[in-house]
Amino acid sequence: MSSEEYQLLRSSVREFAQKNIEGIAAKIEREGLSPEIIMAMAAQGFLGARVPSELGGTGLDERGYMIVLEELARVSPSAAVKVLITNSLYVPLAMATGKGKETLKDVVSAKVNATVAHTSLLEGYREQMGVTVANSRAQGVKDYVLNSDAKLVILAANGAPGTLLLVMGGVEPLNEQTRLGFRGLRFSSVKVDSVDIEVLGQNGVGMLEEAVNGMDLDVAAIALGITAGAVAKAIDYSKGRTTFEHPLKDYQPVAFSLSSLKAEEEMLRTFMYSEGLSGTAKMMARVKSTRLARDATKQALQVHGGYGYFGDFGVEKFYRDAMALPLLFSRGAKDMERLSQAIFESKAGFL
Amino acid sequence: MAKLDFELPEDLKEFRRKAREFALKEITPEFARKYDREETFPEELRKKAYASGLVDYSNPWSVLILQEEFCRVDAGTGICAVSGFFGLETIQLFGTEEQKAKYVPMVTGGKAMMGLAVTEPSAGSDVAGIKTTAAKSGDYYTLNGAKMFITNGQLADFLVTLTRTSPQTQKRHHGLSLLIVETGSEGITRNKLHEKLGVRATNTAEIVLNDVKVPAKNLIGEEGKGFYYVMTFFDISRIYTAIQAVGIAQGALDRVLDHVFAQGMENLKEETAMIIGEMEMRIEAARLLTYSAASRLFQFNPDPKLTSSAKAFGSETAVWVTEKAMEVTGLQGLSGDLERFFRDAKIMDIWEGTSEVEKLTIARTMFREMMKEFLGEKGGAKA
Repeated sequence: MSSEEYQLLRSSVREFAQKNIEGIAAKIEREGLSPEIIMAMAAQGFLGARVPSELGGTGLDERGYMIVLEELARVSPSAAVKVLITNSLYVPLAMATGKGKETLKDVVSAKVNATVAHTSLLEGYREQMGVTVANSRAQGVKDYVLNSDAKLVILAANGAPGTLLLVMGGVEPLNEQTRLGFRGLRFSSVKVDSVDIEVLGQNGVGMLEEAVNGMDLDVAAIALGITAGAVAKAIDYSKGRTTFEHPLKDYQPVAFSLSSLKAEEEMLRTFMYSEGLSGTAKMMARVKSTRLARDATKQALQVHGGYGYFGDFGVEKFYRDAMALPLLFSRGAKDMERLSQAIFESKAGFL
Repeated sequence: MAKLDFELPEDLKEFRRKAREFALKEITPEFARKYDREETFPEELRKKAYASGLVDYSNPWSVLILQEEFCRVDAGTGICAVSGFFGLETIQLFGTEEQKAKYVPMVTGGKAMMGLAVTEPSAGSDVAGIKTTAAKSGDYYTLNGAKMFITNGQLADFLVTLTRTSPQTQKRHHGLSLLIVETGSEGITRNKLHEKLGVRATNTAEIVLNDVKVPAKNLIGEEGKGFYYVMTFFDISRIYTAIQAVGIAQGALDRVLDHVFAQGMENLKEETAMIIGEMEMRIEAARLLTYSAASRLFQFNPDPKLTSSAKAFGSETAVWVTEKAMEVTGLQGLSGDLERFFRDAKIMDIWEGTSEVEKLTIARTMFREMMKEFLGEKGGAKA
């Protein structure tokens, strides 16, 4: 894609997000992403962003995909995460077999909801039961599944390294769990009892790990969108709000902190969208962008004062989601070990 | 040799044990989650807390420890249990004997709830920027305006309300007065505000005052001195906010320790161990700062710079500790009690004066002290 095409893509995603999502962002937090909005995102080609066109997708390259994630996250991080789960987790894993590929058409058109139970790799995961396969029948419970009202679920069965299964029916979401962020998506354990299964690979944990590690730039893009959305809101607010007889923006602590965050946002964007990023650079982007999102949303909320603490102003969701993003899609110390290994050119930071 | 003893006396240690026992028994994780989810006020918990005898306003240290221990278990419902007196010191310090006799016992006995209505839609930290007016005619003031983010607003039996009683001049903080407004009065509309990030059990309301008639005898202290009364009150209430923040931070650390213990100490890496060490370090520093500020206050010798330091440092500690707690506990924290602590902590940075305002207060208090000293050295000049 040319830089004009990227620019065009960015403005069209932004326009879509402003027109279709921004006005209902608070409602999405309360009631979840509605089927209508998911259909609308599918119609734009977002759900199939990374799927090759011959399989019914949009076939965007890495940077085009980042633009979609960033611009959606700017208004509703939940909407961006819906696209992320589909394109960064489900698609690459389902592509492993012919039968898996066949499911993609219905997934990208939002006819069928699909998800991946990837959280078993993450910090703090404690499984009660897990899923076992006996006589071609998968049974059990998988915990901490995001987008859990899916019909298609990819999961690693019990055992090491655990078979990677695509379960195509007999999946039931259990009671919705409280959680900090991404309230637009359902989050719960899922009960599995199915003979409609496809084995995607033998090294389940390894395949999941590869997919999660492969999301460096995608997660960084969502974090950047959260930063951009929160900082823009704070800048707007500080222009209009008066305190001690001056607009907030006139005070140094407000103006300097927001300007400095804006500088970091722009620098990160330039870095992330530059051509030919190495694997190490992508890891750096994840670490720095998820950190910046947390700092930026904290300051954006603070600038809003009491109003920032309420859902109406749309800034508290950024604060929650900026914290939830690395908890749900990054691996904490494991990511830092990966980065350290690349920097030190040998295993480092493991004690 | 002079002795600085940082130990609490035995009776307060014993009180702390009782407060913790009560909180753990009454505020179960399920209870806290329910009120957080539903955004409702736990009235029965408040009643139980009063019935237990733990809420004793005659002993300010016990009120402090009680808030610390309740917030350590759950800030939302914990604050509800003991915040029915919010604003009471304005009456105790500046009210008439008649006002004290009428309003203080019903609040300290837990029979009535009150609130302090200062903040407005367009004036938060900038207290002198309020626009609600109180026009005096005969034996009455007539109030018009709107108040925002009022804690206990919808439930309070009366609200100590800051109003403008004479037009704004160059000196913006002049001409403001505090009035006791009974919420049953005609012309008051109270709307509960929903969808707070945290402390969701607490009741927060917008109050609209439309030609509300308040007897002139409900004026607290002197007309025109309301701003100073409110600032004096904030020097008290900020200490309670500081200790709430310490409680939240300690509660988060408690849960982090449980988590790493359950994961097996042999799996504990240095990065996490160091974070835990820093949590403890910051919490203890915040606690001592708060106790130190409280000690000055309770001896009627408050130091605004110490009070604001305790409030800002405590709040920032709560925000920092709860964020690190999320990192350390991952999915457990994200979907367990800690995510509520993370959400609750952030309000500490905002209410009772933002951390920014606290830091400015600290600096300005020091400048004033320097100026006094400077003028004193010059000799003769009265500061």
